[in-house]
Amino acid sequence: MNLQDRAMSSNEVSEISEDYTTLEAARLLGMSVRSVQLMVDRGELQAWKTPGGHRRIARASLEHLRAAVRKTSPPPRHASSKGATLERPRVLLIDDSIHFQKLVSLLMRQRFPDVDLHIADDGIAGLALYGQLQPQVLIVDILLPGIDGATLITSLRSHPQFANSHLVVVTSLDEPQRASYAFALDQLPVIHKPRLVTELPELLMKWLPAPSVEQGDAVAS
Amino acid sequence: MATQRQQSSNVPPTVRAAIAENFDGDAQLYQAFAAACAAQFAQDVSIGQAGCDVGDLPALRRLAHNLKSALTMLGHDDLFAVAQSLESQAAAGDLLSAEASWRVLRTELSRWQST
Repeated sequence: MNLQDRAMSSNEVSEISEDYTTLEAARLLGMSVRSVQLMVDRGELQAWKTPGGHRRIARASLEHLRAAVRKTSPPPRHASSKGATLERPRVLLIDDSIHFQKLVSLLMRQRFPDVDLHIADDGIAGLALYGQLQPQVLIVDILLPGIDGATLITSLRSHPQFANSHLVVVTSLDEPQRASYAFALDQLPVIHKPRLVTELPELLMKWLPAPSVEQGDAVAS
Repeated sequence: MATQRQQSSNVPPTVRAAIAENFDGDAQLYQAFAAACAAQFAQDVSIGQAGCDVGDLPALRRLAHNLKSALTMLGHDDLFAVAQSLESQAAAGDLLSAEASWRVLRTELSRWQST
């Protein structure tokens, strides 16, 4: 999927008139218009331009992305005895390493059983899932397929809504190898993966709310 | 108690050090992670071999990069070094060396699955 914007004839326009505007695509993905524009610029979403110069996002391309996101969509939340949905804290991990997905899952289950962990395998699914979930904490690997973690972080930090999330970067890269990503890592906590078990829980304890009595009761019931 | 001491003495020093340093002394978490990794190594061997067969160096590089951290966390610094070499060779476009490193890594990962 590496298509760029291109101008189209009016016949072609009428054939694919059900494509989305950038704003519609942003709403469907739960992302900002700017993020959608960036995804088009990077060839991650297919788009074309109307004779008047307006951008349209190809429906098939958007549906493909949404399908990828649905594959990683969250499990049903716990419900209280009154049927109301409880807002459990959410953590989103964006990492393509199955080994580390498993490690973080084990760690969260053991130390933070009241937190919902969601996982995305790549930067594109991660960005879209972030928009849907608005997690309290985002754990991002630097080297990712699709959008790399540094680009993803830069994109997220430009979002006003991102102010509500805490971000921690995890990486297998040692310090000299991280130098080329310094622009994205500025003022962020970075955990070298071998130190994950010793360093991540401390950060999460600082950032995540303590479980309420009501939550504890509902989870136990 | 004697059995516990015996089991503990059977644990290689590198693994004991890994539990202490990388798992905050939590042997249970180490074992759960090691079991998860052993299951995943079968997939890794398939992915790596497919990459090697067609000379897909970016795929070998990604795989080696991901394996590197898992192996060092488990206390297998010798295999970490092989994965690190593979990652560098794949990044440098050195297919012959990458294939040689992959063969070593594949043998060790396959052995791991069967233990």
